Amino acid sequence: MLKFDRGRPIVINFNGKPVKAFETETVAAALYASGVIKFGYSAERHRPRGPFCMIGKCSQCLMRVNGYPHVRTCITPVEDGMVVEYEEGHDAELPLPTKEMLVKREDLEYDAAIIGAGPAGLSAALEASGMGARVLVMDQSPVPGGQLVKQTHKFFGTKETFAGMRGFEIAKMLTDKLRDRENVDVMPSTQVIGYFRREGSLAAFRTDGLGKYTLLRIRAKSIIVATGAMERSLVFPGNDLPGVMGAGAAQTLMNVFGIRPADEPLIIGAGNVGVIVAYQAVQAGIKVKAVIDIAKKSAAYLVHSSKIRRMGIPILMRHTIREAYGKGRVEGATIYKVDDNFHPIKGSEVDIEVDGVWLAVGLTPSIEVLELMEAGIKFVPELGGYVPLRHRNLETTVPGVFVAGDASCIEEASTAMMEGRVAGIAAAMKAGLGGDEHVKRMKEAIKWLDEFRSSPHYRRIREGLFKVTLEGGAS
Amino acid sequence: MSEGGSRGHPAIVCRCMDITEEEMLMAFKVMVRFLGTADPDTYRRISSATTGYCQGRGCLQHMQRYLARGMRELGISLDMDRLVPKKRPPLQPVPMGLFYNPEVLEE
Ligand SMILES: Cc1cc2nc3c(=O)[nH]c(=O)nc-3n(C[C@H](O)[C@H](O)[C@H](O)COP(=O)(O)OP(=O)(O)OC[C@H]3O[C@@H](n4cnc5c(N)ncnc54)[C@H](O)[C@@H]3O)c2cc1C
Ligand code: FES
Repeated sequence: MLKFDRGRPIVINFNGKPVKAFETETVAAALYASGVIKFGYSAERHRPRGPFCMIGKCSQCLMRVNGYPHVRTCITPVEDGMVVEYEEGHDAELPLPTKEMLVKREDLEYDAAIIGAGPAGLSAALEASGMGARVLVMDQSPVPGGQLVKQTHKFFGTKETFAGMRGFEIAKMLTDKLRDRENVDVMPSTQVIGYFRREGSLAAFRTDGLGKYTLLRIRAKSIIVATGAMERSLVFPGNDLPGVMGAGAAQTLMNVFGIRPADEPLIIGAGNVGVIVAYQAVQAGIKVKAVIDIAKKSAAYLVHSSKIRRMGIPILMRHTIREAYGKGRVEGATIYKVDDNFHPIKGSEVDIEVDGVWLAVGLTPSIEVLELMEAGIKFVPELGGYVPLRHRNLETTVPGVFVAGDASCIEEASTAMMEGRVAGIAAAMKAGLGGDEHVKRMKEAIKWLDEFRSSPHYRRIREGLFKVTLEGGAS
Repeated sequence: MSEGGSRGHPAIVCRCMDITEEEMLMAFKVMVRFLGTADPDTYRRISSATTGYCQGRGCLQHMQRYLARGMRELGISLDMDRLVPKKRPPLQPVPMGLFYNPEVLEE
């Protein structure tokens, strides 16, 4: 088991009451640890709501912090004495802060601007900076590493992609390497919010502290979009009850903060993410009631699913959820069995008592920035939904704009790193750097990806990529 | 009636704007019947799904699913690649002060 160094204990004030916290936590994590799962009420129906994503994407964790309204508590670090309060329906009040705001403005220029500091973005930064490019890496989260920071299990894969290391160790290693380089700036708590097409520059805003913001205009010769993915939600009655969350959110609470998100959860989705999270939950002392999946056969690697079966967790295939119920929070779920045509089987409904429902029903590429840029987009279910068209060197239909990682195709960390390498080299070349040896290095990375994807397990990915890969570009 | 009963909760599609599945299906009908169109930008305006704080990060794919299904049922020709509504900046909510601060405005 992994030990958590939660740092110095501090005290914050929640709705007038003191709550213990640790200095390494975010506000949302600290509240969850102290048993708060209701983070406010929804705007129209006044329904209790709790966090869904824990990575700053879903906006379900907004609260008033030190007088500042609409603060995303899941990506805001706690500070001693902080005052946190419910907001009465986000729309019921004008979003005016009760305090002064400090706004600065910066104009920046780089060879390559990278959006997202996950495995793809960090690998791209290493390659591009290695070729002498001035590189900026931005991430909306306060800590770099993307999804890797919550992965405590050892990775499969090959030597090139650090098999045998744990996800968060890989993130740390990549970040440490970048820190030593003078031509790289890693900028956490920075969100890209816009793109000026005519001048090809990005607009971003950085949170320097509560009420302290910097508006950035970034000019770059090339841009890499490595924004990862968003967990999918599922529509069923009670799907917004506090306690229903993404499996990745549960994983963040368990693995990053050492907090139990629930004592007896139900997990929906028996793919790799669902079974890995189930396994980690059991290790954290959580009694997973069941993992259910509507498909006939689990999509997870057999090693993963047999491991959790051995632990005595039922994996119920051809099962799905009818509703989640409970007063003010999840107290149970009704599940039922389906036939070959996914129609409910009469009389198969059962109620199970659970205090959490974790959704592991897939990820969707986060391509908002590319949509703003009006990059060519195509619907390719094999790759996770809407994804950008790209050349072999991962350049999109917008010249100088590249894509890498889950934003290009939902796959895994090893391919995200390798795609990051390709995009990083290609982006530096676009900025006029590098030579023959770099062309060769990029070709090697592309070859690695082709070989990796040639296994029968990745047939769907291959078919998907065939639909979105354009002729031309370095190959 | 804030916390609601224990059962029979609504099925929420868009959490930010509090839109249920029923309302999404109704909005589709209204769009087709009264405006004679079925496209993502109109659908988002009529239903107001995807227009909240998270800007559709959770519900856009559901909206696209209802749109595709509704069009298929009505026999309207369907091109999945065209079901993406236009994106506008800012991609995430930002404090208004970011833009009205006088220092920022002078150039
Ligand atoms: C629960 C779970 C378990 C997994 N387990 C494994 C595993 O065992 N092995 C494996 O190989 N893979 C695993 N994966 C997959 C792997 O984590 C991903 O494929 C990989 O992290 C993708 O890397 P990325 O760099 O593309 O994206 P991410 O790691 O998601 O990083 C993207 C970053 O971009 C930032 N960002 C997004 N939009 C903006 C914006 N507008 N402005 C600024 N920043 C932005 C995000 O905050 C994020 O930090 C798992 C994934 C999940 C969800
Ligand atoms: S934005 Fe904070 S929980 Fe999703």
